Amino acid sequence: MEASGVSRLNAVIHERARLGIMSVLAARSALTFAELKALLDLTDGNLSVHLRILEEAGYVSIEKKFIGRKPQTTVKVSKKGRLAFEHYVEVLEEIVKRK
Amino acid sequence: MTKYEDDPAAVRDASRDLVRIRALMERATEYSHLSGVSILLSGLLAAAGVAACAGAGVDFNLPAHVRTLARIWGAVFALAAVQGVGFSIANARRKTEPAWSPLTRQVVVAMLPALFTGAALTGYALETGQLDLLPPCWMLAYGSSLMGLGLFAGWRIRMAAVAFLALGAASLFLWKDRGLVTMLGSFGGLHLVLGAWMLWKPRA
Repeated sequence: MEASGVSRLNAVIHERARLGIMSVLAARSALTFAELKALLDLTDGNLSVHLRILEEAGYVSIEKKFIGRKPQTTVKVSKKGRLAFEHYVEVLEEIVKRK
Repeated sequence: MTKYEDDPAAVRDASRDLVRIRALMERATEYSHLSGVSILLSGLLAAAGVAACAGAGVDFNLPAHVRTLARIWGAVFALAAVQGVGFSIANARRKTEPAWSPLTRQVVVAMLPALFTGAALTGYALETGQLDLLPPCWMLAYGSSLMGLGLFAGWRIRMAAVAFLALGAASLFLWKDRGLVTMLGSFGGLHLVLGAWMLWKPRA
């Protein structure tokens, strides 16, 4: 028997903030921490927590460097993350089509 | 994790999430550091360039005036570029976002080929003394680069790009002998209209 739509949804991406992070990274591939914060209206702490979870899952990589004297954190989506997000969206679309 | 059970309300949740994903993806590729004041200033600089040419009695259909034209328009474009970049950096800082970000890089990459084409054609026109080609070349190249910017900065920029391209083509085929007038109408007028519109309605 085919698994239900719900059980096939990726639990790491399913959370609202992480779904937002993956959505914007799917469009842009790489974003700075400040851009992510502004786009998703998240606090520093909240964003950091969700990025760490995505990083542990291998969906994003986080790079820290200095631009002049200012630190800049850049978040990039990995191939694994992109594929997981695309699959997540496909499952969502299937659920919607079933109605 | 029950929000996508197969009942109508849950399916609506899934639809809503898809809409949110699309909206976020669109928002993520929006370049929002453009400044209406900067665009307005670009228009004023172009108008000043035309006034300076008229005051000095130089025109694009007079090859002997190449040095004066190069000085005036070189200064206009340099000042316009510097203030444009300056306002974009200030806008980014005001939003506590980095001025040089992956998106900015994408915007620059989208604009550069057309600007390079414009520079190459300018060199050719100057070398061969065909100064009357300069205004249409600049309008066409700038319109193409604006179209690249418009992919990230919204439909108003794309509309301005189309207007520059149309004026450039018309200038090339119909009004090559009216370089100052077409420069005033395009780099002056179009920038003034666009800048005023963006100041009036920052988000359209």
